[in-house]
Amino acid sequence: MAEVRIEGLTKYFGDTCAVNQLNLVVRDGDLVVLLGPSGCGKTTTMRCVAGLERPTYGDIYIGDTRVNDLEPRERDVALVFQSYALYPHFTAFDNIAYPLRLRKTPKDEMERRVRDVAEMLGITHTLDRPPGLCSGGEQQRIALGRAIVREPVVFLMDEPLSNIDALLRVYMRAEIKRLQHELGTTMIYVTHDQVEGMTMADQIAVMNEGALQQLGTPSEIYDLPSNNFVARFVGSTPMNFIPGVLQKENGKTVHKSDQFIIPVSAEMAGRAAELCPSGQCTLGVRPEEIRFTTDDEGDNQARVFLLEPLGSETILDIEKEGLLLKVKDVASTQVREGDNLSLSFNRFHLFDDNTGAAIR
Amino acid sequence: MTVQQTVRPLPGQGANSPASQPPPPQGMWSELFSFRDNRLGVMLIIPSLLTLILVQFYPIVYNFWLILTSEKGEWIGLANLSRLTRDTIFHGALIFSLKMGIVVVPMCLLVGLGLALLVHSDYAGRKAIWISILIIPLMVSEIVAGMMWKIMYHPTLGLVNVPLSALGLEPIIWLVKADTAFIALCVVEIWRISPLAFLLLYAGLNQVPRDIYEAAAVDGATRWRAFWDMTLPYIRPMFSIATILVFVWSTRTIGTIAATTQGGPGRATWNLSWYIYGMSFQRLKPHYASAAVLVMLLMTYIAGTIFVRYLWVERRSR
Repeated sequence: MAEVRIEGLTKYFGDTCAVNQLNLVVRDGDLVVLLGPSGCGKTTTMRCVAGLERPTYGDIYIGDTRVNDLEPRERDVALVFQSYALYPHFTAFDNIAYPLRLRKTPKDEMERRVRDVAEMLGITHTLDRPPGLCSGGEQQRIALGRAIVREPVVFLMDEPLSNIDALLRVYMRAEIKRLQHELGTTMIYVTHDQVEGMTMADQIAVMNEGALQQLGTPSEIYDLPSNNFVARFVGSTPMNFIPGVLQKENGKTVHKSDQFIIPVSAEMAGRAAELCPSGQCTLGVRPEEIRFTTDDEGDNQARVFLLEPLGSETILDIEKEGLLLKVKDVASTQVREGDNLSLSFNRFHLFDDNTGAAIR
Repeated sequence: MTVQQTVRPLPGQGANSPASQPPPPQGMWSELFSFRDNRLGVMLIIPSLLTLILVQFYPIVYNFWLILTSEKGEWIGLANLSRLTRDTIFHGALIFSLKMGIVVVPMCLLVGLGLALLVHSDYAGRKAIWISILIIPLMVSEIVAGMMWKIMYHPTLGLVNVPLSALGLEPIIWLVKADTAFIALCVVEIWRISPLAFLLLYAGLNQVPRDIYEAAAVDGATRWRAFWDMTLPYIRPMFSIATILVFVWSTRTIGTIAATTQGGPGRATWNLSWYIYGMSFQRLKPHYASAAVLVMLLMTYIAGTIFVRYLWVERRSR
């Protein structure tokens, strides 16, 4: 068990910069999710930690050891691949036993540990089969078993759930989280699925274009996004963005857009004046933070354009003068398409249009 | 591992299994004819099936007829075969063929595997260029290859003797002594056939998914260990195909011998093909030669079966 420290990691592939000066500390025993869209450098970062890629610049420490020049086998990390990378010519047993076999573990101990892991993962019945004859979920568990059987200091998981069906994925992500808690091993988990990230992580590192955007707990990432990229990326129904400008009206600061006039608290206005003197900023509001009434009065009127019922809640698509907002209706009010609603904005964020950074 | 956990079934497993299942299909033919498209397909392959029977099976049957009759066309039973067992020239040829196979097959596989690994490695730049250079020997006909090497083995003009004379050694007259002629022929065959092994094994290497090497590296395998545990088992089927083909090519060779030693010195480099050729077309005993053909066929068949049986193992047992 060990802490993983990444200092100034930069990785070039030819002229393409895949990871740009990344600093990240994964505390001992933490589950950190690297979250970001495809091509954001999260997998490259993980491969650098595993030793499958050499950093162009920067250092990686596992525990107190600088591992830059160590071969993958010398780092004592376990990696679960997106493709599982099971050995097709071995049985499931041999797949799981392989790391132990390489470490010359005595035969009876190896047998016992493989059986223990298989039992823990519920794949005892597959042990005599080659992976090709196992289902996707079983293959995924075999890959997981191969990783945990040798008790490494760090687990690395590269989108391990992206190839299995939705139902099993929900089940397995809880399973992996439980395993990690029980084993207490440091884990770096790469995914582009923000729901997976939010549900599993102790800490989330959001990445984009090779750079770290924000590191924080899931609730910090969700409630206090550091910039508009994080705000846009996190949240299963994405945040609404309303471009506009901060203005004084009747002595109070408001965010004025083509569609809405939204009052801004004095505290926020003060910081905005300091951080974003131009006043050009985009207002971001989560779908569940928009309140609505069916009155015809109020400043911010808009028309319901489409209903998206999800069972437990309904997403209202609201349109006003070319701007589309998504509003979450958890109370299942009897709103119908074409109704006019009066909106109020409960909690929102302001993002500087020049830098994209949150004004806070 | 200290953590213990009860087994939980995967979601969707166990439950909802159908109460009764339809009966399994009734065999290959009903399957084959259950679709109209299949029926058409079967009819379309009948002509090629007939052609195959004509060109493949007719000669074999005809060969048996030749064996069982004398040169005058009289039925003599197994006399041709029993004569073979007493024919020392035939024994020599058979042993020479096997000896050549024993030397040439491993060497070709070794050279082919080495070349395949080199070309497959990250260090080989333009792979297509390497491949097209390396398979040139495959495109040269046996006779031409033999002629070319005959010149190379020439005592005074040959390229092979140049380094020897540069070192002040006596030139070796390769094709005149039995043991050197054997070595010389083996070298020609290795030069000629290892590109075949290279090509097959290179194709095999390309089938190995990259990620299992990475998994092995993370699991703790050295490159050498990964080669033994991942590469070799993975290319095993290709290896057995290459072994069979190289064996067949090297034992049946005739053009090389015709162009270099003509079976000489004496009968030292007679192999089975050369023996059969000599029997049928020089001594004009095709019926007797057919018996030797049968032996050659059996030898290839047995060797092929052994190679498939012991090399073509799909997965390692525990």
